[in-house]
Amino acid sequence: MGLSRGSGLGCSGLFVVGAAIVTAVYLVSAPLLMLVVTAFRGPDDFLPFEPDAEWTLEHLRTIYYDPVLYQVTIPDTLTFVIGSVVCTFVIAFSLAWLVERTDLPWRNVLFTLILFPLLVPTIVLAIAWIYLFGPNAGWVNVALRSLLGLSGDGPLDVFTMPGLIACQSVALVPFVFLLMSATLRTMSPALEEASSTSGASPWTTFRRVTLPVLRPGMLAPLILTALITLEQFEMPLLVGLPARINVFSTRIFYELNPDTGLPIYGRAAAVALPFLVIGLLLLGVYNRLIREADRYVTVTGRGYRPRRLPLGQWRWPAFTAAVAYVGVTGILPAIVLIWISLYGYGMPSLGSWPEVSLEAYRNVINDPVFIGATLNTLMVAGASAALVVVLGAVIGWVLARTRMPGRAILDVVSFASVGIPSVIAGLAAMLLYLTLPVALYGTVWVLVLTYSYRLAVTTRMSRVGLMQMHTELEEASAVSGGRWLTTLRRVIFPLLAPTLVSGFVLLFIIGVREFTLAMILGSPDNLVLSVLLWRFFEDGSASEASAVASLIILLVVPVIFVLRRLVAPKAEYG
Amino acid sequence: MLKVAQLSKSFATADGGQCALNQVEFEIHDGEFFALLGPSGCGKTTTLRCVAGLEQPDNGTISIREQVVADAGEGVHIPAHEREIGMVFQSYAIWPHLNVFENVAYPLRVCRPRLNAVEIDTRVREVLTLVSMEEFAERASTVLSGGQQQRVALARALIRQPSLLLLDEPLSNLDTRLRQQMQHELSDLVERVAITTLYVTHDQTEALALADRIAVMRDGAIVQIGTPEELYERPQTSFVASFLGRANFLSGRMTEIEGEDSSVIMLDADGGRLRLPLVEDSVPGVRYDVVIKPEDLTCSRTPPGPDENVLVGIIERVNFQGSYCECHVRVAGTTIRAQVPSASSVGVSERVWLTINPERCTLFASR
Repeated sequence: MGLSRGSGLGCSGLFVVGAAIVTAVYLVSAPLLMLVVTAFRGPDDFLPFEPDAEWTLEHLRTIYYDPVLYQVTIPDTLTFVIGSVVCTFVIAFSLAWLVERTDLPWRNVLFTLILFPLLVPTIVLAIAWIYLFGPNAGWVNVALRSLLGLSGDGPLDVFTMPGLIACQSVALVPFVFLLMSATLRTMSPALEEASSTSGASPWTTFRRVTLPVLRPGMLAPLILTALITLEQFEMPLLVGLPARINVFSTRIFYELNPDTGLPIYGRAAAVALPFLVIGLLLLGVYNRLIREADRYVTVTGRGYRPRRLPLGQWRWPAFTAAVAYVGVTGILPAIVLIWISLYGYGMPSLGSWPEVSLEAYRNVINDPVFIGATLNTLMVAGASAALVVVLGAVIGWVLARTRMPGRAILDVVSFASVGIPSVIAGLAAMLLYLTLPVALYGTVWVLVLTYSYRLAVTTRMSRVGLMQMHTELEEASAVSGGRWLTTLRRVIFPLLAPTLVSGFVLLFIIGVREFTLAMILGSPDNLVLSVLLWRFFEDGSASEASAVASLIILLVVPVIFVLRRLVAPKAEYG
Repeated sequence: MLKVAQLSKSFATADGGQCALNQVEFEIHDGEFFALLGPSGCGKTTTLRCVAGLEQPDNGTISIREQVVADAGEGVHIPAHEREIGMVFQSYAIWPHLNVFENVAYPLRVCRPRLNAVEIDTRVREVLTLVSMEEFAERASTVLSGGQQQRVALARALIRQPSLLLLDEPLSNLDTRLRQQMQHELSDLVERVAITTLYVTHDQTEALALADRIAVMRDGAIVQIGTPEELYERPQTSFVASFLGRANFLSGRMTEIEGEDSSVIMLDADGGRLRLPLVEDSVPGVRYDVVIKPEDLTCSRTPPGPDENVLVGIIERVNFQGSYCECHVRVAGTTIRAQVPSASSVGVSERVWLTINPERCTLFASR
């Protein structure tokens, strides 16, 4: 079947490759097919394949004739996405440029601190921001009011569109910062030096060389940011809904959890369809930009480390700004959460020192639900990360090493997960496993399978890793008598190990952070920490919510050091 | 033309070490092709980058055309873009967002006063023709081969008609065949445009073939400056001798000075007796290294007449090189390379006598 050039896969090899392909295609496309079908099946509260369900356009009509969609959902979504993308971008680029290209002091420490919120579930950030900037009792507002002698609410209100955009941007900056630092780091300094020696002033060089060369490498993260913002659910749920801001992800959630009556699956699916299309279109643009950016990667001369721009008199002001940013976005939220978990929801004041109490932690830890949620979180994040790493490695191998017919389709399927908003993935999985006659729905396994639709990361990483690895290393194993499976196990996996480990860590973090999928597919049996945290918060148990949040932070802090080793700039040389 | 005096700077080497330029001094005359030659990490690229203005020296002065462009003592540092130079980078640094024409036109587009479009067009086509790239003007720069990128980089460096051309290992990223071809083209081109050139390389054949004068560098300092002939024939240190050619090293002790013009050296391990011309620092009793090049040895299968300046050895290996064979001859514990005509058909394990031409030997006191 032309699967492998020269060396045969053998029966067992074919089985492994075949199984991986079938699983991958299933994980990504089965739920989506179910989603599309559901949009056209009625009546309202029926699942698509229930005995009395029938084909209908009723859902589309209800959703798309409804002026609310055009007056609220679409404008809100657009404002939210564009505003967050612009803010995220400006902040992330400034920070990445300072850390990678200038002589900013303490840049290695700042690099780590900027990445810190990346590890914490967005829901933790959302709660911390509400405790800080809530219009009534938010710490910062209380402090500002006493400072300025104001009364009433405010002056800052997180429950507004600007508040939502600010929260969302801060949550996304670390990821975008990571992508941009990589681009800035791979740009050969000789390109700028060649401009200097051609007689161009630093400003001309920046305008005519630096910016145009960086453009594709910067636009790609921009598109990706738009895609990720589009699918955000946590901030719109916690910050947006109280402000009556309705974006598409919360709209889908609303159709599934209406104020009255049963969930209307068909309508949720109907809302999802156009956003799925938009997501995939953005993905297409992103893919093209990535290819252009790859072409721009030039040969770097050996030996010369990138010269850093001396900031001169701006060195310390820039440092102060960076520290202020890190303080407000990373350290202050951590402090407010730890404080509330220990002292309750009160502003610290000089007059009355409240008493420290570990009661919240005792309540949480003695609660069997918490233990169960912790185990579920670790289990689901670990199992799905492992599954996706193995699938990604095999699919990556098929894409990089074979001329199999249908490779292009496999490529699209594996990469499509980036363009599928997680709300839609969750909804689609819900529809699929409610319909399938297996008792998966409501168990942790449905979460493992659904989390595992994120195949793109590991497939891409493995593929790049394999392309940098000479084919002869595998052929040497074959001519030494190794069957394909032996080669896979004894040569390919060990050589790819660093890539696979980073892939696992990355997906494990994504799994621990996950809220949307767990929320939509949630049941008492598969509760995870992020959902538990939300429940405490919704019940008004601020101390318990903060305790859980602090414990999550405690859980992920060690991961920082692993991550730092994997992604931090290697000393000065890279 | 270019004058570098007492240049000092600490810098990081490619493999992560620290090194320092130490009192580097040289002068390049108008129209001269000057090469900085040395192993990697010796500071030659750092020197070049100081001249370009991409690095600031810790100490010393640099002047181009009588104008001081860097004087650490006085705090003078003219930035790179205000120096009249053209530079070719080791990685070529061809901008991926501009096509061939625009890459070459760039220095004219950013200069003051502005040039009009017609003049830019004429000059770019002129210089592209000079490097045989006129047909590729509209080509995207991301699809160029290594050799083409090199030509574009050269055209871009020349278009401003700078007073000084700086080349940083321009041939090292090319494969062997292309490297030889580009070496010839480069030498023709530089001669034709008659531009003063500072060339950095670690490849001694490149330096010997291209340069009018060479400065050999080691550990951040210049070891010797001279024409290729001077350096090849009269190296002043054993480092220069070993770096410039496939030299053989013999060591021994000087036993006596005979008469006014010759000394006798007993080689180690009973290797034989050499009678060599006196050198300035000939002192009896001191150990010396004797450097002799393969082409200055005569190889015979029968003992030649006198037994002075003759080494006896066994052939260990014969490498066929076309017109001649290079023999590795085991002599008293060391291996000596000698050249014999291919027709003489010597074989491995054969005993041979190597006659040394004493006039062609170089003597260094052992350290």
